[in-house]
Amino acid sequence: MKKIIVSGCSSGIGYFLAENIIQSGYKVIGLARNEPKEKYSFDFEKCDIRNLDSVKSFFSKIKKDKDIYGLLNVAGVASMNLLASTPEKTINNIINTNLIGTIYCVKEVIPCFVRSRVGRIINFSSFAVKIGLQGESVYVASKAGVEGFTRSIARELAPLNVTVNCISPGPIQTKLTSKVPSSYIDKVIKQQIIDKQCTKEDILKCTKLILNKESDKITGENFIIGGY
Amino acid sequence: MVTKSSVEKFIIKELSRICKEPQDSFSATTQLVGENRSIKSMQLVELLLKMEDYVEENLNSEFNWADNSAMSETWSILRTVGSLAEHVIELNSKK
Repeated sequence: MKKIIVSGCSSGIGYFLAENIIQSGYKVIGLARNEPKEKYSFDFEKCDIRNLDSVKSFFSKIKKDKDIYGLLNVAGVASMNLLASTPEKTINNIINTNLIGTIYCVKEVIPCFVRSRVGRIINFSSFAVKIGLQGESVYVASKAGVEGFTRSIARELAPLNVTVNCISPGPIQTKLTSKVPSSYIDKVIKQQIIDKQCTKEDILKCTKLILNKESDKITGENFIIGGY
Repeated sequence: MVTKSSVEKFIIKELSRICKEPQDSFSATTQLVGENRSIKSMQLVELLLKMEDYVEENLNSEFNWADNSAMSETWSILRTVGSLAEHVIELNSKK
């Protein structure tokens, strides 16, 4: 059975994808710092993606597993704030989780793909990058980094038949957006081609499309849910 | 018994398989990193994974090739087939 690793599985989009991808016939290994509070049916592994030793420790257990097929780098944090008033600790946490954590997981999953000669990596960016969302400069910087990383690593891993793509959802209802005023969210949604709020199901559909074995030549792309 | 020559032979056999070239295209002086390297970077990664397995299975030791110095052209253990074999033998003697 093909196995998919999902980072950020303790809540939000990561939890939703980890739970629902199982129904497409994949075995899911969910990574997070803390166990999900809700009931879950995937294999859970404690891992702090900001810490290379923690990432290495998990991937060393699966490095010879030829069934590893996908990596979904969902783990992410945001903090709406003006840059001038954003503490250094918050800046580091956003960059280390969203960008460095993604890079660490991709780096450590490569040995699995060298052995299996096939794979799918899906990184997560945001619609906020496209519109340069005000008040999210560090978050936007981290996600823009993820998009650039995706394009470059897609070329590097192409000889292994590994595709690397990015999904960029607009604002969806999660803990990340719960404190953002609805008028502000509406303003963002109106800038999408399809001006309807993106749902977790929309992200799941896009994820399944990329994971599909028929999607073997779709790589280096950024899928903006709702369009821009 | 694992000797430098037996490790070199193993590396050359694997290089031949990975690069789909005859074994006599490679020797102890074949460069693995740097400007004049003979193999592509992803082929090098594949070779190093094989070496990781080899060291684990034959020497019961650990081969860490992803540290900061490994890819440096001048001092790297990955300079040539010979320097890589030498490093593997050193791992064995340090046990």
